[in-house]
Amino acid sequence: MSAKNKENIEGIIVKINGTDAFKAFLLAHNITIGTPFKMNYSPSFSQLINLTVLGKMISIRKEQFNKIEWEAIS
Amino acid sequence: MGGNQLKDVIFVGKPNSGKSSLFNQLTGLNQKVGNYAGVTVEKKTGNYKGLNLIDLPGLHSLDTNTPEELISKKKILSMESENSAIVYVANGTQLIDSLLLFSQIADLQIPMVLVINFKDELAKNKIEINLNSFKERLGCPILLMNSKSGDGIEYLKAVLEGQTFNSPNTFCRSQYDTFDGSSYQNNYKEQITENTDLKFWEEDYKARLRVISSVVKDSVNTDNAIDPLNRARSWDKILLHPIFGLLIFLFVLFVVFQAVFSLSSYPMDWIDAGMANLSNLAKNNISVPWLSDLISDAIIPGIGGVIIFIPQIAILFFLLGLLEHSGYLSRISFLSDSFLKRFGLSGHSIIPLMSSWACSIPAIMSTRIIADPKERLTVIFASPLMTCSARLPVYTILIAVIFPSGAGGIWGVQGLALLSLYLLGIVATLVVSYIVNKNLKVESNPFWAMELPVFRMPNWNNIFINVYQKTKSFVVQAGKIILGISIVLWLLASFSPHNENFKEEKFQVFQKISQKENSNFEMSKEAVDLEYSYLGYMGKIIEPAIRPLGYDWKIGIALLSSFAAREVFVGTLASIYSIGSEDENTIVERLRNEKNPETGKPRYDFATAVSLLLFYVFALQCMSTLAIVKKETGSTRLMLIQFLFMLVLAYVFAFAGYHLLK
Repeated sequence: MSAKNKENIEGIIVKINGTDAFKAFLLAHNITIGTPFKMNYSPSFSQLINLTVLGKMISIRKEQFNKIEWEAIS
Repeated sequence: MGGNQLKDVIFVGKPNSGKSSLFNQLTGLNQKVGNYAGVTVEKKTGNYKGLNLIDLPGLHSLDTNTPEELISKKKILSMESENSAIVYVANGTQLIDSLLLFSQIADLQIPMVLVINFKDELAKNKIEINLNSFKERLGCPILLMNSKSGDGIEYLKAVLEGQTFNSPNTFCRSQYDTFDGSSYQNNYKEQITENTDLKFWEEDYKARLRVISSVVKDSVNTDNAIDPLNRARSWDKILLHPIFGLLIFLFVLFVVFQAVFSLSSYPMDWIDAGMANLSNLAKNNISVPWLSDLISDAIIPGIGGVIIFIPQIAILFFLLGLLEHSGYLSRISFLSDSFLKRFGLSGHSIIPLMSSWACSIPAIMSTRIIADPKERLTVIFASPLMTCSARLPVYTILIAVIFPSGAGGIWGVQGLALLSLYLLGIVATLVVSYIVNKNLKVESNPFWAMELPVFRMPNWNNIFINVYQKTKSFVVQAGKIILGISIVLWLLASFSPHNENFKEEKFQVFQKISQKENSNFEMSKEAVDLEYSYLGYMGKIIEPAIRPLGYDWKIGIALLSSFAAREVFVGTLASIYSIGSEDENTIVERLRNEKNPETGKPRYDFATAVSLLLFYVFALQCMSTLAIVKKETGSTRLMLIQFLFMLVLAYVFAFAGYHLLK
């Protein structure tokens, strides 16, 4: 699911692809399997995705976010 | 914890928790700022009633690999509970997140006090914390505070003075109990020190999250709460907008640049004039000639060369502080990230790069906001290519020599030439960044994340303390090097292999030639002294090397002396050509009339002037910048590589420019 234009959508992380180092990096920012998050506004030109995780707004690169599989919470 | 055995109190918290504000509230200007051994991570220590307070770099988790966070982790793991304690600062509006790290440290059984910060925002967002229930569960002193205003600090002072820290109740420590057949051992500390297995940390995180969620649910009432991020989300729709966001961003950068550039010009002029007066005072009142010259021509100008940068450094760090503390700096990083990423940089680099337009020194100091060591070194290496304010006097004089005022009509060729030089500086910075980033053998953080903090009123106390520390650090560290080089340059320019009689004879000869030719410009005694000084001979020694660029030994002297600072080029030319004034029009006229004795054509023809301009675009002619590079990187080698790299670049472009245009 593309991150662009998904503002206010809430999701839950179901799988993270990539190396253990990448997963550990995300974990230090509270992002791991089972983490709920909310999409914030991200401008169309930006290579960054802006999320709310555990009450904090975190920006990560789009290519990193694309390695995260998630499902929308209805 | 009772008694008075406590020595160290360590301030720990996640980034943006308000930890440093609290530390500043307690220590004020009574702080020491240095680096941790072998790294350029800032170490802040201060004293409070005999206690050694240490402000550790912000930490996300004990599962960390970034150099800055590893320092915090190592410090925490090496603590001895008998004589040290922790003040843990938690962001009250992000309690679950804050308590994850708290719980990891609590399980180490270190005496602690928990400070729940941003009391004002909790009230504003209708988040109610039941402190009694919280205290009962956590088992250590808990204080509700506002670190910005100092509201509640008296309770923290009471804890510090009474040393009433307590080891908190544990969260997940019992999971690490092992039974060896006769007794229970706990290997939590060993596990979190040595275990790098991802599964281990994931399980630990999930277990903590479960416990903490339950604690927060029982002690925090959010029934009527407003999401603290709502306001930031609304503002971000404007501030990060593809059009409005970029326009606001450009406007803010314009204001910062203008403020650093123009506001600093007044105090810089005052310092300049004050140092000149002081210099004259020394010259007129010290009877020993060599001592008078040393003090008035080397030491006072050397000190002046250090303190003249104070206004720029102070204004830049004040404005950076405003942007950072308000939360807008992260938005600037967000907006510029996509563009800068193409050159191996990120949004974190934008402020140092833009600051370089004013001066490379505060810009290089401000690279500490860049977390990635490779990116930081790249910016330190490339940012001096941005057109700093010291290049302006050189540019304006040389442009005026080749383009008469009013040339080009409404297009203003002089202005276009100046703009082109600025653009060339930007292109050079980005291209060099790309090349350096590709070739630098420094480990880079492969992943990138940034927190977008909520918008807050700036903390003036923090900003002023930071400005004071940065300025002091520059004056003390870089000042020593600048002063030293100033004295060396003075020695080379003041002493000669010849005696006074020889120079006097030469002066008389030049005067006679001047009278015979009925020249309007007389050779001054100072110019003769300079020509026959060691510096003058060095100019002549390097002449064969700079002749291919279209320069003679006189330009060589100006190049050598302007190593101290680029703007010295103008003053040296004034001295060499015996102008006796640094007035721009006088110098321009003199340079235009200067003839090449071999060809009879103008010495400063179009090709030579363009060659000189290109030289100054690329050359790192600024010892203050080199001093700050050495200080910030801790590497003399890198400083020399940077100097030589930019010198080669300057030579190649000046050579090409001269030969293409002559």
